[in-house]
Amino acid sequence: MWNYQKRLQYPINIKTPNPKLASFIASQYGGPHGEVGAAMRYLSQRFSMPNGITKATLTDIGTEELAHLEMVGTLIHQLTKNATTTEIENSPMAPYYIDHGKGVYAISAGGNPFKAETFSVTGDPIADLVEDLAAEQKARATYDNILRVSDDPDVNDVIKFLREREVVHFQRFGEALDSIQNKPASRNTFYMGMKNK
Amino acid sequence: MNERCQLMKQIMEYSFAAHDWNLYLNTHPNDRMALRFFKEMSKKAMELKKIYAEKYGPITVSDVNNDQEWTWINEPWPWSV
Repeated sequence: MWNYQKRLQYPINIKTPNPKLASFIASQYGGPHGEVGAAMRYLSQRFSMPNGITKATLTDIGTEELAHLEMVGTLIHQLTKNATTTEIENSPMAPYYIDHGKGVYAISAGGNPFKAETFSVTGDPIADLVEDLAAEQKARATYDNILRVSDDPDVNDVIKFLREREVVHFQRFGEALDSIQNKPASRNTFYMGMKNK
Repeated sequence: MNERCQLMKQIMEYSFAAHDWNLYLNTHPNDRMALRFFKEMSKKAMELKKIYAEKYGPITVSDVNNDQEWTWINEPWPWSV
């Protein structure tokens, strides 16, 4: 179970409204490489993991992703709260605004609502952890793309923090994968094929 | 930055450090130096959270310590500008 702490993981204080940037950043809330997909993927994959290292790593990184989801939601909220209707109308956020107003909704930058396929659970520890390594890189690449199009230093400071976390998570998932790859079933020639019948 | 924000920033720093050692320890469970750092950061974060809750309001519901009023619902919430 979980307990809520009434604070962010990292401080966010955006001074300048920017609905265009909000509509781009929204992708890290509910887009294909976003935080809600990451959190649910890791927290769901835990149940079929074979050892304490992998169970703990998925639990704690999955939990951190929930805190990141809150941070991305905060960015969207603070970037739109004081934006005028005209500013929104003349930005790429206009179609989003018609359906969701200034609310925070799980949708990609391209306008596709969140898809549960991104949870990607196979029940196979190797397949799932390799998926997670790729997922961290895809999220990192998305944050890099956001940094290329954003010139707000207050936003970029937060995005850089989130980007660094993807790098750390990639490292820990790699170590978790090692913990099962290096102990393959006794007669296996390959990493795959855990004793899992 | 006012005193309240300063204290919250310190809480974020120590909590983050403890969390990052937590992730490291998950994959290096016998690293004694990391165990010591985790304990230090975690203790400091807990102490500061206690001070914050007494001065400014609850961070978790179990911090609520008021016979007159349910202070959990008070502003600010984390996403407020």
